[in-house]
Amino acid sequence: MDTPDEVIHQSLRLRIMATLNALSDGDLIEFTRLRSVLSATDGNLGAHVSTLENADYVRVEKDFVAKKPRTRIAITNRGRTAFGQHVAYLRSLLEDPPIPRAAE
Amino acid sequence: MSITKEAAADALRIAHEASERSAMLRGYQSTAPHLILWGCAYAAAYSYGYFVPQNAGLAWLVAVPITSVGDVIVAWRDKGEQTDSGDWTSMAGLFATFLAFITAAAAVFQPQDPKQMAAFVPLVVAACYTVLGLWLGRRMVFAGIAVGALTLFGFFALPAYFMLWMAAVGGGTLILTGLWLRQA
Repeated sequence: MDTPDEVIHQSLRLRIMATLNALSDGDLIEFTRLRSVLSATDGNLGAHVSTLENADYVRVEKDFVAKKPRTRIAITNRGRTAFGQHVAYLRSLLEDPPIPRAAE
Repeated sequence: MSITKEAAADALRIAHEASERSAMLRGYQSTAPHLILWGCAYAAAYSYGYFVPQNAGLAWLVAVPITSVGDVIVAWRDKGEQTDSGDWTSMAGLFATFLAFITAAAAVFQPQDPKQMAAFVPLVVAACYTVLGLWLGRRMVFAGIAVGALTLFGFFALPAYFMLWMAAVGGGTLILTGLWLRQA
């Protein structure tokens, strides 16, 4: 990838993606738990999760448990790929460019 | 959008830290119910061993299989459909290795006093938790050190009440640590 992923590169979204990427395929994390892990506020986290969902990088599932609403989030395959590519791009920026050979 | 080298390094560090923290907390969440289960097993079996010392071993013959089945159920609920035969093989292998080691050690050392075995097993468990904690996180290291230290203290300082000590303090430590891991 030659360009950064602007959706992922924002600090909290990067941390959201890194957190979700560390989970196994199909693993969901509750919104409240993610908020606690990232020390984010409801509004801030919600806005960034929406951005990632619109990009199809995460999926959001809502249901009820004992009549209480529950929101859970998981990374999608597309999101995993995008995160991997963005990390690869960042790493490429840290590599020193090859020393050009002198013309003969 | 252009990113400087410094910004890239910073972003990679942020991503790495978030990833490590996520894996650690996931490990804690997975491990917590097992600690609570074994804490209850300790409390029940050691209590029985204190009040019915002539049948202390019987308590463990019952507690270990029941708690092991509980471990399997917890693990299956944790991973659900993602559990594959490799996971079950690993769990069975881990348990079999642990059992074989305890049996072999008992055969070599030939403990004279039942309290020696009653202390040896939790010391091995404590060592396992401490080593696991080097990968899973500091809270597991604390659990291992706490169980080990409390076992040694009870064995040497309170020999007459060792079984009761292990039931209350050993079992209690595991249960409280499990709850602590769940809160992380």
